[in-house]
Amino acid sequence: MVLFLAGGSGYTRRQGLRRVKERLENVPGASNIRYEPSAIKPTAVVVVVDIEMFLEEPFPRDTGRLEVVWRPREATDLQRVQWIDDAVSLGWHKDRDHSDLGTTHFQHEMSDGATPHREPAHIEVEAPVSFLEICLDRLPDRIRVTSD
Amino acid sequence: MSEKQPAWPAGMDAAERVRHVALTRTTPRNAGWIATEADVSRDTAVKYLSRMAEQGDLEVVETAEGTCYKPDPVTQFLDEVRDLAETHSQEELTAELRDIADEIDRWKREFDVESLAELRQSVGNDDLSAEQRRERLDVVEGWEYDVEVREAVRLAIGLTESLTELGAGTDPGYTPDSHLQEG
Repeated sequence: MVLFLAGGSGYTRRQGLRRVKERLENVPGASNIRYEPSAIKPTAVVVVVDIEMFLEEPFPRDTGRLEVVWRPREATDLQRVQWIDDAVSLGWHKDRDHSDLGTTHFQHEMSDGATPHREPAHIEVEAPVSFLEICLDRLPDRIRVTSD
Repeated sequence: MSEKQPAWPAGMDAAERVRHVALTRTTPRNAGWIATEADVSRDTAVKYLSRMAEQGDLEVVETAEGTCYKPDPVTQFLDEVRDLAETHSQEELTAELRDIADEIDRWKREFDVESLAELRQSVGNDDLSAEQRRERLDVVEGWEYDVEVREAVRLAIGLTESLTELGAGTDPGYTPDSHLQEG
């Protein structure tokens, strides 16, 4: 007898993350795409990205890592699309951490440890691939401004 | 201004978009809401949602918002069991069960509880700070996910064994016993 837990949605989660992985396979410069912590029990999809191929222009840093987390829960849906390279960690977060900034916020941290910059992200969509698509659309400009 | 207008990968057609939106819901939503999220007309959404409900992929529920749809948990569970059985070896599945057991043991020690229910109850303790409460809620969610995956993995292992016994196993190297071939 299978017990369905209150608010549990582990199979929904695998469904959504599978689509996220398929989408990330089509990102220019993407390699080494994998589930974390495992393919059987995924909580995130991680991909290594060649920055120059992604931006289609020269860039001072070589590669970055994109981490997409999606945790569907009744009333507490959590999504994060995070870019990390040697100089910055930036991304779009839909979680309970900064509700004063709206449903989602954008967060930008430099590797020097200074206080992170946060601002409203204005992303209201819920489907994980649609959320990811909006972030992928905005990501190149966010990376470009960190080249100085 | 908030971005209500969804964005979608170039290759995803209307049917795939409706499917993705409907199957990643945790609360039931009506056809109009799903149509907006999937960037299709309401009629198109209704067409695909009805089909998915007939196939057992979606559960239909009546709410204050009218006819609403959410993923059918039994169909999703069985699909995952089949997918696990087809895409992972018995060794991989067994190793995952071990990892899950280790993780749950670690949480039991860390929070000094015997069960998920006990940890869930402890979240209401007055002596916890907001930070500690949030950490416990996160572990409760991780623990629930572990239990769900563990059940699916156990059934996937059983399914593979049953199919092998019946000579219908997914292992390409498998040769059925001669008496089964005759039978």
